[in-house]
Amino acid sequence: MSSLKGLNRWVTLPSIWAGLIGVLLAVVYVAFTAEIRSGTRWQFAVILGVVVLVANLLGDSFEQSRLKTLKGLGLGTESQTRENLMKALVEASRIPDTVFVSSMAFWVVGAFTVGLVYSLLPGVGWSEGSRLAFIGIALGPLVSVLAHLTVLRRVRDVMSRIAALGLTTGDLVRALPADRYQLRRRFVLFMAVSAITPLVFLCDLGARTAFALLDALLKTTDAAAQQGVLASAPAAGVVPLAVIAGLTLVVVISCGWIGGRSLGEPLQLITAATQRIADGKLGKSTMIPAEDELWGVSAAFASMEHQLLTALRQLKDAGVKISSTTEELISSSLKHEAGAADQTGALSQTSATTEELARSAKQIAQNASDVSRQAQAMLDSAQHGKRSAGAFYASILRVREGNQAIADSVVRLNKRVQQVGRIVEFIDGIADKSDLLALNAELEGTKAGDVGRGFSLVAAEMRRLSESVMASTREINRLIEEIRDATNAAVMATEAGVKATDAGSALARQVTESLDRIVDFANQTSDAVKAITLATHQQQAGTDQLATAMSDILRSTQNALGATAQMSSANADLSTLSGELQKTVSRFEVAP
Amino acid sequence: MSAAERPSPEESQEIEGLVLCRVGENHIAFPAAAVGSIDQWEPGGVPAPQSRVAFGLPVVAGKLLVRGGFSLVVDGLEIVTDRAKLLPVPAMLLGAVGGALRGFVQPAGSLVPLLGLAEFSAFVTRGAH
Repeated sequence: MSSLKGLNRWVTLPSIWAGLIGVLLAVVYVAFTAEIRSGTRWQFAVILGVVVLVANLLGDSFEQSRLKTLKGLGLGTESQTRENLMKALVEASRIPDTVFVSSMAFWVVGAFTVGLVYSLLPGVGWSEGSRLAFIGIALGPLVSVLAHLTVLRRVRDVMSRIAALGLTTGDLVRALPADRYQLRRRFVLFMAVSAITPLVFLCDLGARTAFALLDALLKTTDAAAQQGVLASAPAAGVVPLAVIAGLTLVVVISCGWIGGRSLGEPLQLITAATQRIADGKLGKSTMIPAEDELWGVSAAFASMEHQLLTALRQLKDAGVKISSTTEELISSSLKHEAGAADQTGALSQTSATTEELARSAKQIAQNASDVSRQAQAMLDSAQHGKRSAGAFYASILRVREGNQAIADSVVRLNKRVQQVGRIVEFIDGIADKSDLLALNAELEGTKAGDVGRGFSLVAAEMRRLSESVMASTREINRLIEEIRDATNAAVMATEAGVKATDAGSALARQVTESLDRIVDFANQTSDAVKAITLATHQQQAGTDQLATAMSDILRSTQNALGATAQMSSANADLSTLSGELQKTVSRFEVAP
Repeated sequence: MSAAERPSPEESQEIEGLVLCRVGENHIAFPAAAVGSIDQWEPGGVPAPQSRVAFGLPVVAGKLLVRGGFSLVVDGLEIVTDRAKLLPVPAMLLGAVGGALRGFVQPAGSLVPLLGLAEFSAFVTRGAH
């Protein structure tokens, strides 16, 4: 069952009671002022009852028509969405003014209707009817104010219930913007009604009493009767006056009391909430229903409480985070301080190493210059060697050509020697045959005895010549063999020489090619060494800059070390402040 | 020369004209009249009896002594035109060398056997077989 069920009717019910009180006042006033002609009281009562009934029905219908959303939420025909709740809230906030306006309208129309209908009764004139209308219209503002104030208190209750269903302070502020400040105007209006209504009735009553006395005096003819009328007049006017004044005063005081409570209750609630906040107890931000400037104060207070609540939560969270972060910062600062100290030491070593590196780079640059000069000298030597190798290669080629010529000559010589050998062999053959012929001739001469002795001697001499020739040919053959061996050896030697010169020329060519490559390499080496020299000079410059930069970094690191120490001190102070902040925030009991 | 033609040990004869042949380190002699002609011989040439066979030496080139149907190869030779004293053959050597030994001569102071060319050629031929 919805907690809003029946509130739409409950909230407007005081307007009916206020109307009935107004009717009661009007009836009493009419009774005392004897406005109703005798014989028409029942008709008047019926007319008044009908008009009151109809007015209440119409007024209630009108008022309920302005609470459709609240009614729907109570009946469950409307879902309890934020929009519907905000809409019902707006409807409820407007219902006191609606009640005031409708009450005022129905009182004026009703009073006029009663007067008009009553004046239509037989024997009743418009003067009586208009008196009734006047009385009703004169009571209208007072009754409307009463209805407004009584409904107002219930409206605040209804608004609290609606807000409790899930509307935030922001929703309330958006639904009911605090921009209509009508408190002074309302107060003036209420004061005017409270002051003017009794005056009107008292004046009317006085006038009625005076006119009644004047009529009584005019109807008397003698002085004694007039004296009697004058003597009874005060007594006749005191009771009605006192009753009417008393009732009116009760109503006015009631209005004032209700109005004062309407003004004071929000302020009391705000004061209590302020005191609660001052005591450090912050719960869910509460909405204090009010109107006009009071609503502005209430909304501002609710916003302030909400903001304060949010700020305190954030502050509490921030305090916790600051505390943990500060602890981490302190730890980190200590580590950083230690690391910075280590870094300073390392940087000192690095700076020293860098300076050593700069010196080494300078030495390297000098060495590179020396190497460059040596590379240039090596290049010159290689080029000189290349030229020498070229000359050597040409000489080797000439030697090879000479060897080849010698080999050819030796081969030709060998051929000639072979030809000589064949000739000598031919001579040897002839000598051999001559020897053989001489031998046979000597044999024949010997066989001839003394006759052939001379022949034998000649033959023997020829044989000795032949043998001498053969010995010579053998000697020549031996020499030829020696020459042949020598020429063969020479041929082999020259062939070996040719091969050697071939190998030498090949080697010389390889040497030349190698020297070419060496010259190329030497060129490249020289270029590379020049580039290295340039690079080492640049490196030297860069190393000098690096050494300078390292010195700057060392100074910066030393400064950073000092700053880190200061930061550690600041973090310690921050930690202390964070603890104090948490301690301060912990004084406030913030609901989760 | 038949056996009757051989001089007895008690008597000595002279011989005119000798063909003094060299066979290795050895010397043998033939009567000049027993040699018809002298020719050159090379191994692989016309087959001829080799005097080196009689001394157990290998065959080498030499001179070929020819007479009638007989021939003999010796290493070398020389003609001795002077008269030479022919020493008789001892009795115990009469059948030696196939009966080719005729006696001994001393052409240069050394003792050299004098052989019959045909007998020695036949002896060498038999010895070769």
